Amino acid sequence: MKKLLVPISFALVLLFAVVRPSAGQSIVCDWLDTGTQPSGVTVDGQGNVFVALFAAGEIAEFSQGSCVPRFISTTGPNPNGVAVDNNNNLWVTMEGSDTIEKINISTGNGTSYTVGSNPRGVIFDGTSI
Amino acid sequence: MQTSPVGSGPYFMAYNGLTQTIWVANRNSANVTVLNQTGIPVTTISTGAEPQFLAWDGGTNMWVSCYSSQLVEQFSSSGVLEASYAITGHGQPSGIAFEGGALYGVTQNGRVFSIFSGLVHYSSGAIGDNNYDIAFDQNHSSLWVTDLNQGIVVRVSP
Repeated sequence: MKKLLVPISFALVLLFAVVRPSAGQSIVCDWLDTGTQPSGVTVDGQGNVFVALFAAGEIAEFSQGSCVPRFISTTGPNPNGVAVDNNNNLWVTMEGSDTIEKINISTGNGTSYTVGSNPRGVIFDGTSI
Repeated sequence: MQTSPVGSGPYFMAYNGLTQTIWVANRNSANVTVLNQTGIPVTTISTGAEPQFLAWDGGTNMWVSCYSSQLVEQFSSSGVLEASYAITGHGQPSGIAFEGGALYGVTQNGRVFSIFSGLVHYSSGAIGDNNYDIAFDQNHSSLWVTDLNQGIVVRVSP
């Protein structure tokens, strides 16, 4: 309960002290409970939010308008950076296994590529892969 | 797969669509390596201490958050330091994102800040205690901020 109350208080602080919502803008959820140690975050063109869960070794996907996550498994530990390409793939740096994973967002199927030590950031340059 | 040499402790990256270059923040060597699209280093730019995150403004500037020197630096696409902004009183700067003419960022102590027209503004309330990354949601004109300690991601409407 304590964990729940703290983010709610944060949300209230945001609503009344930080947030200046635009008129008519719907606020679906102002915080999302991701689990332990959310690290990298990205938002795709449709408004879906993807969060790397460093400690859990998963990706939390919040579909646009949803406050309930879908968890996508990764094959390596400690995901950190996340990026979405134009082909519905999620790219994730796995800091604990020195790999980058390409995960099909629809199926959850992934391919792992070995890279250097402790990869963190990942970006997509807008071209097809 | 191809590898490219960069500096020590490469941390995060950003893509400059104007020059079609890839910028890599080298946390341990206090610089940024700029690569062309074929992965060839074209220049190295000195930064403040422990550069971590980068954000391209969609135009001519690249922004760098420097953790231990508590600076956000603004560089031209050619690597010239154009401005440096002190992030003080709220912990070290972490993730940054650019949207709508303003640079947004988070600090380790849970503040959201913006840099607009040369001025730094801080949120009046903290949104966490170990914020890490930030991303912009174009569909809702809002920012998402991860909080490592609380295990949440928080939406902020700038």
